[in-house]
Amino acid sequence: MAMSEQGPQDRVGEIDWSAIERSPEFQELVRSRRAFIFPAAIFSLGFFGVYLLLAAFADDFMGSQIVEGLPVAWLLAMLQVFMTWGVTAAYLRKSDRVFEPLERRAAALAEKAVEQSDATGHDHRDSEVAGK
Amino acid sequence: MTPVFGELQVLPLAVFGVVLALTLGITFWASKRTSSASDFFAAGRGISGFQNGWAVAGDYMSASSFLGFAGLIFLFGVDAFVGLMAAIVAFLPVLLFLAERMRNAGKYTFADVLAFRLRERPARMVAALGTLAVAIVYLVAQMVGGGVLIQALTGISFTPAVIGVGIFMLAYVIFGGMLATTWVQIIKASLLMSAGVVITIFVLAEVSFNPLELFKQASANSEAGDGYLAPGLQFTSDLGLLSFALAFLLGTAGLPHILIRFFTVPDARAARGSVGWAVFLIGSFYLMIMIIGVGARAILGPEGEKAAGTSGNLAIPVLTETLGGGDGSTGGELFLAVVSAVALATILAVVAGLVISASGAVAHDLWSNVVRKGRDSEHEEVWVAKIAALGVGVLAIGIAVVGGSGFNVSALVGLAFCVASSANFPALMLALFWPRFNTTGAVVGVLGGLAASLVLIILSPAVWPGPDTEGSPLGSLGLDNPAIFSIPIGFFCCWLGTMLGSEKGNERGYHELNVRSETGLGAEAASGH
Repeated sequence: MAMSEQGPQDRVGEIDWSAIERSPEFQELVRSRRAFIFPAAIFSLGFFGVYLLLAAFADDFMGSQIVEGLPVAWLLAMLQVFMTWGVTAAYLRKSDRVFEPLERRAAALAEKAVEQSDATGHDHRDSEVAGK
Repeated sequence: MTPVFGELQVLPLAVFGVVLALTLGITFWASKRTSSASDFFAAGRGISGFQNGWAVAGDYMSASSFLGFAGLIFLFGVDAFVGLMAAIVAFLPVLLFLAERMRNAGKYTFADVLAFRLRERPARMVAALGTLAVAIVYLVAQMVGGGVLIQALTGISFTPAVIGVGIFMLAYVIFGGMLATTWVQIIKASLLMSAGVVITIFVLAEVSFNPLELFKQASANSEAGDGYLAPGLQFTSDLGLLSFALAFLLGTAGLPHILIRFFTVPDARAARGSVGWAVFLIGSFYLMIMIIGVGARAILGPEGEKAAGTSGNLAIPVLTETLGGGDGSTGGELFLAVVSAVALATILAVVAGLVISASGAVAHDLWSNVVRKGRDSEHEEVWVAKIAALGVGVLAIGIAVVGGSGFNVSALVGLAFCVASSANFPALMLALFWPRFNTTGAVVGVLGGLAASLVLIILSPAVWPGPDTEGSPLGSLGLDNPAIFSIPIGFFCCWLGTMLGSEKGNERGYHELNVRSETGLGAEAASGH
């Protein structure tokens, strides 16, 4: 059936957004994603913040060398790049495994809602969202 | 600035020619594939995550991260790396908060996301203002920096260099739209990465591939001695260091030319994937820049400082000439020519990205949705975008030529990042994550952040006449990069406006934006080229 292949994408004007927002599926998606992104952001900004504080207030420590030719400041500077790679990889992995399936589950609700409104003969035009 | 390498340089100009011919070929190819508005603004949303990662890297790494930061590392050591650290960590807020949400809820500009839940016309007007302010100021900075650099590398004088860069930039955008702009960025990023790898290998070969030896030689070749290996050479004020880092850290997430890159991919998965590739490429490049900058210190030593110029911009060109066999040798000249061409490609790609983001703000936000209230045709929107690109481009060329090389490029870059972090970033974040946020909050927030950035930059020691910090009427609180004050002011103005605004937030709009941005329901589809 050609219509269902297009999915809800072309017919978003008909969706009851706040109903989806209240659904346990959507709540779980938002809760689990935010439980990752906010701590991850605080950790990474904090990690960089520690470098800045050390650079500002711990001159002796930052100027010291672990072995000759390996100064602490440069090592910590390189660590910022590795930290960024690590957090990025963790988020991408988590997105593929956890968040994306949750997204699909929440989106499937909308599809169902559209089908139901078709069945009841609901007038789609009325709920077209202004400005889009 | 007089050309440090003497008269017109034939070899660099020939390599320039090859790069320019390649980009024009791409523009011609892209022009055949660009007809609809989605083609023009978003390359038909057909760019893959991998390609877009290269393009984001191309858009983000300006000539200043290639030549400027390496030069500063040569001069000041690890302090100069703080800017690059902030610039790479800055992609985490982009990845965690914005990339996928932009793709899910936006169409051509970040104002689309605000317009979902706020009153459309005022929201688009202030977002367009924030976009244009960042794009034009950054454009002028890139043009002036580029003009000075081309003059120094090739002997072409400043004004024709700026006009030439402007003409190519406009050709890419007007004829090839986002598709041409994207591929120019991909080519530029590949050239830049290749140059980085080659120079890094040559530098490491000088110390038998022992990085410890590199640092040892660098400190031995610095007047600061072991001080070269420690912080404190560039930033004498701790507040200055913090503020500079903060501007990059949060400003990146408010740069319109970076945000619109996420509209060019087919879906949210590709959007986050592109950040993954971009972070990998940019991080690797910054590590190479570190080795190259320290290598320049180890190899060129204090004698190199004069040739590298006061800002250190020419440290890489001088270094590559030395690595290639020295002044006058064939290897040295060839190396220099290639580095110059890479620098040129870098400038061209960044300015093209800025112009197309500005043209989207004018055509899609101001013209199509504010003036014509959505009654215009797609055809008209594209035409207005092309005219806007021409207007913005000519304006920036004009300012750059009239102001000339006397413009303080670092103050302009500081202003652009300040506006991005203090006006655009707070409004965008709060629109996505704060249910209570309303239109008055966005308007007061963007205008407040913009005004705070402008006033603080004008009062900063970089602009206010006077030799040093005493030149600023704010005394020691006058910072070249005042983001540490202007970002809180921007957020505060958003909050204040929201509290003062009599309207209730558009409840329904927030629910829709929330669901759409989190799930990708109803996201703009790829046009399927």
